[in-house]
Amino acid sequence: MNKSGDFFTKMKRMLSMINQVRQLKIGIILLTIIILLALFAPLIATHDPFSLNDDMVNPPSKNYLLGTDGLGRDIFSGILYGARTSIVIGVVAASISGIVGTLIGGISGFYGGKIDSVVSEIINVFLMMPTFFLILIIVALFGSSMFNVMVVIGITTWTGNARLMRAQALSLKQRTFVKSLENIGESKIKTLIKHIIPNGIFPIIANTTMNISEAILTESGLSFLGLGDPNVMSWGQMVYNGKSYLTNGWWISTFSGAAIVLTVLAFYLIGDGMNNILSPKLNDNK
Amino acid sequence: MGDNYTLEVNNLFKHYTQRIKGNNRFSTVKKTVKAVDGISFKLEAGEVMGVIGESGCGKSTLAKLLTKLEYPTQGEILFNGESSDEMIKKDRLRYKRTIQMVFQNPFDTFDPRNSIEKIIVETLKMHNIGKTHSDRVSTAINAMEKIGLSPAGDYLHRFPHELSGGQLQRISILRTMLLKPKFLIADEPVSMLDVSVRADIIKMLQDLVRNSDTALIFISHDINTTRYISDKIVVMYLGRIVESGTTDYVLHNPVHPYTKTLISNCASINMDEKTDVIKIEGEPPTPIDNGPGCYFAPRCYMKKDICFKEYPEQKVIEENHFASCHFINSN
Ligand SMILES: Nc1ncnc2c1ncn2[C@@H]1O[C@H](COP(=O)(O)OP(=O)(O)OP(=O)(O)O)[C@@H](O)[C@H]1O
Ligand SMILES: [Mg+2]
Repeated sequence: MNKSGDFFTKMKRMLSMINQVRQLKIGIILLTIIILLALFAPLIATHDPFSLNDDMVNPPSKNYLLGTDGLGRDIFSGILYGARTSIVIGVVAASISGIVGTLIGGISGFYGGKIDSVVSEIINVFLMMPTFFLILIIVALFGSSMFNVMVVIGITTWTGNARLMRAQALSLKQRTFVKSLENIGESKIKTLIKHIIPNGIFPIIANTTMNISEAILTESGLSFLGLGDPNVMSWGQMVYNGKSYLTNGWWISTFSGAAIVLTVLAFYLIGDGMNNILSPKLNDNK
Repeated sequence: MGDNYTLEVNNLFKHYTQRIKGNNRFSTVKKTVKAVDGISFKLEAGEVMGVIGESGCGKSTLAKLLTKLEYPTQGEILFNGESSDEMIKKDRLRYKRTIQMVFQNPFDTFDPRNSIEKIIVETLKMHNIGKTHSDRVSTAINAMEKIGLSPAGDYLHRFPHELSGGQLQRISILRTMLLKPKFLIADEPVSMLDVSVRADIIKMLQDLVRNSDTALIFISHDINTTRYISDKIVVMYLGRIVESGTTDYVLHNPVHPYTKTLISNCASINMDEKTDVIKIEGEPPTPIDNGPGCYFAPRCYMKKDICFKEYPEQKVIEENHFASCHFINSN
């Protein structure tokens, strides 16, 4: 039928929406550049990021675009490869948080009753915990592999998503179409998975994008404290390595720090832009 | 199959507990909202029962109890003598196929993210109707053509927001029809629709009753429509039935003051007889703290002391005509 036509009109509508919200536009452009750089890192990089060159603490020059660190590693190449680590950690950790939060919040809000009271209490407990220190302890206990870091960030930050989804489920379950599904014979669990969650997921997607930037920051923070995965190149570790050269090698920490800021900003802008589309009222009085 | 399928409702109650702020800042008072407060009736295959009454008298709550979207505080619902609680425990989907409901708001009856095709096909699949996907699609197309949504291909891939209220309500009725229910509840099915399409929807419901022997419970504010479609009428006030019986008896010979008030406020029903409009006092109250006397007493134009003391018993007016009022001389 006219499904392909439908698809194009939808794309057009999406594009015009993106154009209308400035944050979203800037964020998406920024993120596209970052992702392209990360994808084509092997082609763009001028050196092997792990190889120890003879020139240590070399300032930015023709050979070393952004200089080298204390062991003679090329900063520019390091940042390119580090982008992969940061994006992967951010996306995976935020996705774990999003999926866990959506399921738990959805069940809690939709089923209500005792489950809901218990889950709400758990959420409150999590909200009162100092998350970063919790992550710190767990990583210190179980080791700091990239996998551990992602899972730990994921399962300590799901509560925000759970609260959002719970609120969505609470309001959606009052809607006629949910009653109509029950009337027609749809089971509760299928109603939740096929109807409540898809209809209430948008704020969680927006929030998850914001969570990606938080996860990237958390990982950088861990690396900065020396708790990063030593087997991968990460921006946090580069900042950490540059710490002792701040006086005679400012470029080491500065450029890797800037990379963190830009990437975090990109995800944050996208998340904020999506929230703006979601509740345009806050944005109307421009 | 063709046996006389009956629905019997015995002394059905639904009370909600509500917390209301008390006199001082920290106290909350629990109030009981008696949405349905002791209802009994019987309905047989092919019959149409109209339910009328003011806003808040518990019509929708009754519908939800019958379809098991809510569970009663007390009382039982029987299908051919079989308890509905047992039925739904044994086979949930069979229960859903026994009694179906059409909702007031067609614009919100379907998941906004699903296409019409998906909505119908998934329903059929859930109830194991049809063998393959294409089987079910053609069932959907046939049914849609039959109710005037043709060519059906044009509508199948649309989403609910791309259809009019009338079209959506027809699809809503069609979907219940495909399950061949013995009983159908229509909760104000036309009140949110444009006047021009109301008649079509009513006609569709009527055809459904005639062609498949489905019993219909038609809930409405509109006495004229209800009179047109129903064989018998139930008049509700604050969760109770105050008058019931064959449509003609109730509407032409109303005995309960509340029924009289409703009818006198409805312009075209008594065109020939010029009766004065009976003014009703006050707003429709909420069903909290009513009684011990007749619930209607505070607003009734015939009230006497006894009305505030005890609730009147149900009296037989004539064959198939009942009412509860102290001032009826029962035969
Ligand atoms: N979930 C609930 N909790 C508390 N009170 C409720 C609940 N549902 C309904 N009620 C109350 O029960 C009473 C009956 O409501 P119901 O929706 O059945 O009325 P109705 O006759 O359908 O009215 P309308 O004509 O406006 O649709 C109302 O006073 C309502 O406030
Ligand atoms: Mg209602």
